[in-house]
Amino acid sequence: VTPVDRKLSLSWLGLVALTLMSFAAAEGLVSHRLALGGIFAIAAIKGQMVASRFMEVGHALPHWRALYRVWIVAVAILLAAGHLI
Amino acid sequence: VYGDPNYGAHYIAAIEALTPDDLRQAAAACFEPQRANIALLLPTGTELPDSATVLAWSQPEQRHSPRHMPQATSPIPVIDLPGGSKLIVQTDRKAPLVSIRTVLDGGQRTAPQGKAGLVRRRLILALVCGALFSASKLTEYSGKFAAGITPVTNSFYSFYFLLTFIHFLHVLAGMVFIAHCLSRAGAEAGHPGYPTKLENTGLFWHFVDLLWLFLFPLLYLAGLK
Repeated sequence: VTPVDRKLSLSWLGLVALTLMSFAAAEGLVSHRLALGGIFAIAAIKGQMVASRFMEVGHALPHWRALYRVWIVAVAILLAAGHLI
Repeated sequence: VYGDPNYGAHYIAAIEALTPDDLRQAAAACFEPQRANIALLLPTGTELPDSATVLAWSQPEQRHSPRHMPQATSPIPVIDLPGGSKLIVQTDRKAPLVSIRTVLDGGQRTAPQGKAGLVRRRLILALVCGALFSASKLTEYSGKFAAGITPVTNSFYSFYFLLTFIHFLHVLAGMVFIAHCLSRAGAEAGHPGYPTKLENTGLFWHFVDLLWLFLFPLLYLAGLK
């Protein structure tokens, strides 16, 4: 097991934990508006993890990193806004 | 480090291929006696040589005589360092500088070499995950149809079926790419094109994954309450 493998395995566990958290939020542990904001925020964090770790965007040039980050945040905000407004 | 990474190899081959005749030809083409500018650096107080002597120095037969040719130097030493790098030592008498060029084999391009077994195991794991996802989608769709829910039930289900099905088709396409990489893992291991194939398949697979990260809360979580 290389350090890269360990890092990716930890990222995967993190993704599973975040998914369970978004499930808990959606199942009514918090208020509706908070839950909606929470699940799309969690989706953005997961998206950022997949892009930077599994798609190696973390090693890419700064403008690629920025492009992915902007895209992920913009999609999450759009989806959340679509539900909240 | 810049320029052609194989510069060292070409440079030495080119230098070693040179013959004294090549140098004479180049000198005859470049250094015409009538264009010569002669500068003399002499200690203070030295008596200046007359112009005839100086001109005689520039005569072709003088310049091309063997005793004016630089002595043949020993071959350029190439030292193999323990890490696999090559150290090429060149003497440049014009500048008191040492220039070092290093070329390292690294990154994805060399990683799968000799690791066909590891690559194969991981591709199989990815295929199993893809198959599990596909099975969950098919179960989900059949459950919906059994309950009388179809794409025309309402606008939510129209979007639900459309988005998840298009995503599902991309998962299947990704599995085809992974299966192709798996079938070529033995034959193409160490081949320069294979890591590119793996990289592209991985990028496609994870981008499809990235899309699911947004489809999942949109279609499965936000509507739960």
